[in-house]
Amino acid sequence: MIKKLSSRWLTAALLIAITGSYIYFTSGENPYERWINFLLGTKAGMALYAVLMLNIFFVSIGAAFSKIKRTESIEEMDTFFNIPARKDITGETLGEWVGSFGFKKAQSMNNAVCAQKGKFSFLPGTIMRAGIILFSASLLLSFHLRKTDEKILHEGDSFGEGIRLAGTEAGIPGEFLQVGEKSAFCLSDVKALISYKDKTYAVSSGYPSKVGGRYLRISHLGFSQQVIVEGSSFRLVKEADLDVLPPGKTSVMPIEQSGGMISFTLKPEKTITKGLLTGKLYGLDSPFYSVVIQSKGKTDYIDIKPSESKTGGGFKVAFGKSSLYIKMQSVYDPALFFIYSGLLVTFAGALLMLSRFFWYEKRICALITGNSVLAGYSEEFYRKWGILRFHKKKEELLSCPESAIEKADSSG
Amino acid sequence: MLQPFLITLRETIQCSVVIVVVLILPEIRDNRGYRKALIFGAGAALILGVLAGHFPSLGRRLPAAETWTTWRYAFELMVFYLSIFFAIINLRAAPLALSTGLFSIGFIAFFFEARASAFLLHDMAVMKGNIPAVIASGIAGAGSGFGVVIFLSRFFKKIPVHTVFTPSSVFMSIGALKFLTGGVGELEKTDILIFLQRGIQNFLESAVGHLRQLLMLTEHPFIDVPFDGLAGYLSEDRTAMALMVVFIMSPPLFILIDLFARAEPVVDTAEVGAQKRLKISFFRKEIFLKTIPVMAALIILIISIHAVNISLNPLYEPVPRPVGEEDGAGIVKILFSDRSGDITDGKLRKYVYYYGNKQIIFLVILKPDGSLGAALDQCEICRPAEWNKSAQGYAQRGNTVVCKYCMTPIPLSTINNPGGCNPIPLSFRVEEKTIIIALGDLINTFRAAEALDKKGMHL
Repeated sequence: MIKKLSSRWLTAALLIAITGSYIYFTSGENPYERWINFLLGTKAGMALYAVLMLNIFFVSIGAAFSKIKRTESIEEMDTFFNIPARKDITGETLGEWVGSFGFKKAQSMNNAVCAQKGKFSFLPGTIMRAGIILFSASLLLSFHLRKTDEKILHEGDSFGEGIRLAGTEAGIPGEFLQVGEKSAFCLSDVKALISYKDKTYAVSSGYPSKVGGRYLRISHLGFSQQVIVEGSSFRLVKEADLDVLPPGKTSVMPIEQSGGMISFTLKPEKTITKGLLTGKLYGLDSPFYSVVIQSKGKTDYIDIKPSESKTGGGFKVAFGKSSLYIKMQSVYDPALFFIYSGLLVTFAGALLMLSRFFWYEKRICALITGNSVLAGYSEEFYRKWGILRFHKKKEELLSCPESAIEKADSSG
Repeated sequence: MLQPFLITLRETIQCSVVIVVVLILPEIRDNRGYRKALIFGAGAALILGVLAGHFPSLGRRLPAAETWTTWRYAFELMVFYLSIFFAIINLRAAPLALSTGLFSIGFIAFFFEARASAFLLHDMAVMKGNIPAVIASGIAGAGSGFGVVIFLSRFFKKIPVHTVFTPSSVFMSIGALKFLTGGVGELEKTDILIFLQRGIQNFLESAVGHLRQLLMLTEHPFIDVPFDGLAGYLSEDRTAMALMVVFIMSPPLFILIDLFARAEPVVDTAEVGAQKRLKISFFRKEIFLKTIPVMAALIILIISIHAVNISLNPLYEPVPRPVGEEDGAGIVKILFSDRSGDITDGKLRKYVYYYGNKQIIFLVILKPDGSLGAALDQCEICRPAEWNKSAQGYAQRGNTVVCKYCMTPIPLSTINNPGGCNPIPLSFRVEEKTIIIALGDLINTFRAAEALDKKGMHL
């Protein structure tokens, strides 16, 4: 059973089955999503997936076992010869002959010498396969256990069990010059200070941070603006979370009372044109907004800054203080750490696999039996050249012309 | 009625050649069971394919044409990769595997083409309103195709094909030929390699997106996220193209490595040195002959990949628009906006000024930083000979201009920089949405470029 489970033909068959299942899903919409749901969410898919992981596991066991505990006769090696030996040949000279192949540590017993190189060359592949198994198992767990939540937070807001947003460091520049139509607005690192159980944690927009059993990460940020809009028949007071970054983007807020809407766009403080190039200078310390109010068939355009109040077209618009809001992604996933670990281990193993170009197993065994020498050689890779070299060096052991040679070559 | 005849004649010959090549192999030809498996596969494919394609009531219950094409590609790739399987296993030890493989080959060789041809003929018959005539013409074409192949197979038998082909190289060659000729051309326009590249790219984009979600590192429009660059690189079409090339080249390279890694024969028992050398020479000749189909398949694949690359990334070369001197002022004016569009659209624009009996062709383009670039449509290095002047100049491909002679891509940002493969820069100025080039500068720069030709610097 273990031999069947560790078969590389089984690996090939399972990979073909998994690939075939993906091809089946390409006939419809969202093939990748449907394929993942099949593989990780259905019984048949999970069975296929689990057998593949088991197979990879047993392949690693088999590879390690075959190198460490190999027992084979000389005749079973890749190639061997049995030739009449020189009369002066001893175990010591045999040992020197074996050493001339580059084997430094030979095991000698009376008139027999055996040596092996690259005994632990299975390690890079084993490490890589271990990483793949760790990643795959975590992926399966994550698919079934992960719970994701996203919430907009302002300074002082609480969420979850005793988690509070203490502050935000966005690194937004005081001014931003946009040249051309394509925005180059970019923030390198946005941080939020989270207080939980009398401790303060820094959560960033980069790698997730673990706080209170959940992984937190900043997924978005924008300006939060207190807005008061007074019309003839309504008064709207709201803390509007405006999605107006990068500059040029428009955020829309509905006016439920009148069925209209207000749109907000950052307005440049200055516009400079030079030839084909147009530069727009935005003040982000105290953002200047272009507001469009549409209500009951009426549209009005107002340019306004925080703490200002303006009237136009039948509306009175007042802005309070401006602040920042962040969108916090909160994930409960006990497998996330193992996903990261699995990827790292797989990557490390893949890098180590490069050593297999020159780190691989070689075995040689030679035995003096009466007047002849029986010697065998095996090599994991580059077999043809190893066998050629082995047969060339046998001349050193010969005592008789070639017509007296008795040899069977069992090379593959 | 000629068209149905020609379609079925062509498709029958293409499919039957595959069967004949397989039947010539001694392992297959001399084994009745294997021959039966192959011919039964082909026969079953013909019957099922015609039924699936020709009868609308049956066709309506079956998948759409795109799904058939997808599965055809999948099976052709399977045949192609079976070559690796047959390079590893000992055929004598796996008769069941070989019989199954042969049945599959026979089936795949005929099924999809039979279905597509029957579908096409049915449509033609309905449009012409003469079903019996179209069907008869189609059957006649198929019969003629079989006749041609049976006639030619007598000559194939005389060719010692078995010294050149191994079972693995047969599967690989069939796969490569199916890439080139598979499908009925009137119905299916896409190439399997384009399909494979797009499929790989879609998969990579989805997989990278999924992985980013999993790691909580989803991309953001204006906040830097770790591994943004790597994720973008993996989702690009160049990565998909590279992976496609690796997939397609693996079987021929595997077979070549397997051939060259075979140990040379043991010659110790030979008495004379000449006998030893003869034995080794025969062995090496045998290996060389067996590499021929692999090398041929490699050439087919390289040509196919190159054609795919060209079709996915075509060169854009506009026709030069004539311009003249502006009112005796010694300048040439190019408006930002004209009948060909606005210069801010980022497309390459070419203009020609007639200087005596010569044409001075120059180009103008908007660079990524928003500034303009103007240069002669030639470079200092690539000076093609007179008979090859059409290879001179540049065309646009995406965010680069490409020298048509040496196919070097040049980033748009380096236009107006002298040297290298950059087009020879022109000095110009911009006034009120117009590019102004002094005629004297244009002519002097052109003369200097012409002088390079006279110095014999052409390639």
